[in-house]
Amino acid sequence: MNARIFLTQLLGALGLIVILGFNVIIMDWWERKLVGHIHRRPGPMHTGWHGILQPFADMLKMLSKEDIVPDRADRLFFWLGPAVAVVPAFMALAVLPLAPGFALADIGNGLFFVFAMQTIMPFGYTLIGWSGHNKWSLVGALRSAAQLISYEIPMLIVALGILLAAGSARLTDIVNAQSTVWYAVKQPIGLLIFFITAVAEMNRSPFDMPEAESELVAGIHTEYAGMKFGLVMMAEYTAMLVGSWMIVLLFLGGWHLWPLPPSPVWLVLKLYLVQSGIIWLRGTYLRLRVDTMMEMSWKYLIPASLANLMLVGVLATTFKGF
Amino acid sequence: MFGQGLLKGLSVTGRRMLGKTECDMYPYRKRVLPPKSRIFLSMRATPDGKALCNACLTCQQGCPDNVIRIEQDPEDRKRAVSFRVNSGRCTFCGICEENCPRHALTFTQDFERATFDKGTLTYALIADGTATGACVIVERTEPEHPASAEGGEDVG
Amino acid sequence: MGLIENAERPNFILTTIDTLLRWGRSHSLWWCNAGSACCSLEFAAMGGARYDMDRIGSGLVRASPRQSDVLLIPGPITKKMAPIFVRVYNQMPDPKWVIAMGSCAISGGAFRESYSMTRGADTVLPVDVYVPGCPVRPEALFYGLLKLRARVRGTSNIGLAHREPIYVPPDLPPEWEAEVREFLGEHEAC
Ligand code: SF4
Ligand code: SF4
Ligand code: SF4
Repeated sequence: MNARIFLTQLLGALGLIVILGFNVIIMDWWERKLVGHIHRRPGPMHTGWHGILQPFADMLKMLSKEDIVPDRADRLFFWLGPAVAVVPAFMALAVLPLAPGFALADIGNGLFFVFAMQTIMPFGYTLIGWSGHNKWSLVGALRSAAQLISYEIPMLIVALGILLAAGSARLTDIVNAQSTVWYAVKQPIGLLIFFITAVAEMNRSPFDMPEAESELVAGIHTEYAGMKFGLVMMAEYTAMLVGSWMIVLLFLGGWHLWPLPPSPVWLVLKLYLVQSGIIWLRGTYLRLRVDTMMEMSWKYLIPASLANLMLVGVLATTFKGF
Repeated sequence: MFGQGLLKGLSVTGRRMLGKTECDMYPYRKRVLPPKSRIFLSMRATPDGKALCNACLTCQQGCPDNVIRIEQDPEDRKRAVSFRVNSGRCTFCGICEENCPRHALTFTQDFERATFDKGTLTYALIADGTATGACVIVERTEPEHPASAEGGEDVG
Repeated sequence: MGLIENAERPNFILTTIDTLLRWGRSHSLWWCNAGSACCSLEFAAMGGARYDMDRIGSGLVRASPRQSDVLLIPGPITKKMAPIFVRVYNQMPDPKWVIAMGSCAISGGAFRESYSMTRGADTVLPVDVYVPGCPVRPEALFYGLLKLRARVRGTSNIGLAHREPIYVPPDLPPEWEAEVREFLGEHEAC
């Protein structure tokens, strides 16, 4: 490998880590603020300007907590679990473009690469839940696996619709196909299904089955203390970032905001708007029951996504340039 | 229509999110408590350190939780030498205040009594025969029930 | 962080880290609510929008003791429940604090004479802050939290010896102590 390419790749990877940490810090604070305002209370106020340093206080505390590994836990997987959950999300970030062609690796099969990485995430969650030797976390892990697998199917079928319309699996091409009209306008059903399944994939409320605090003590991370819990939180926020980035790229036109000139600013703006929307959902809806949730995926979302795919196919063959 | 309720919920929380916050901001602003709040027992006393209590022991005997400990003066049975309240046991039922024939007991509205040391929750209202700083100073020697001052019926 | 607690004497680097740690810990006291009786509802009121404990960073009530810093005892501890409280306390990672809320947790309160009650949480756990009241007003509990926060902020961690890894209450009835030890020996996974 050429040394210059290697260096740029290395710098890019470091940059991604910085983005990741920055995003976790911002989202932790923003989520607490936003949920607070939904409850008509101000949220964190005493750490810096409007509590902006709150995530740092939490981080310092977590770092200095005693690190408990339960006696009967599987030590190796107890350590590995959070890493297996974070790394795929991080790898998915590597192919997500910020501007035309500006990604760590703008590969031709970007769409499938992201989904492949997302498929590894339930494995990480299952490890997290199983290794703690705790019945609640085990139930949470199994629920998480069932949920992620069953919501992946409609998500992929909807993504096939995008593939059909754009004619390419390269994420840059998909975004450039939406330079004037977004796929959100052309495929509104697709957007709805994709949004629901993406929220479910992130394990966010109202689909936070793995961490159902009213039923399973703290879900998959019942046994996680200190910074390892922080790592699990980081995995969840990163999954949220990847999911909303995919929504923005596939449906909301990425860096395009017609008629304004394309710019990465729009992408970042949309990204945080989508994430705020997801937090808004969390502040509004109650958690679904586990059986209703599975029912929703298998009985309604999969047929609807198939119908959406058929509709898109018909339209794409009838009208040129759909 | 299907999904109407979901949208309505979103609109409600959305309006809350953009609206004003309604927080008490406790340490900076304190709410005015309702007039009959029963928080921490106190005693009425005159400015020269004479408590209104005449050591009849009604409150001590009526208290369900053995909160009050009164020591009578052996020479003058109508005078309390010490009057100690263990507020760590009190359930703030108000029986003592209602039963006091001299209306000597009263409740203050000071709730900030959290402490690191359990022992400090026991405080004296009368020590060595004189009222302590925990007492409420009133001008008149002969007590009057607050209700009767407002023209209400004197239940004492 | 054994580094800070086990240090022999302070130096410049340690005190800087310690100041940072104290700042972080005092702004992020997460609760573990062992809701044993009615005072728990006042705690819920304090968590609500009117008193908003998230303002000072304590807004998260973690369901799992592994992720919490403050064990709240909102009510009486029955003798049967006491070993479980000890267990929950032992499951929390250091550093940890205990708040006894209400007359029941301070001294047994209304249930003091009962055959089945312990006389106060301090017979079972090392309590840091006592908040009197029955029920405690949400503001009063908030005041207790502020007091605890001031103590966390103001106490240097340097040279502070670690607590025992497993806490066993000192003065227990003999038969009850056997129960605690058996329980810990069998199930404790700290
Ligand atoms: S309020 Fe009730 S419990 Fe408290 S001292 Fe008076 S009688 Fe006793
Ligand atoms: S406070 Fe009232 S009831 Fe109690 S001993 Fe004194 S006079 Fe009697
Ligand atoms: S102190 Fe009063 S309100 Fe609190 S738990 Fe005991 S009886 Fe209930």
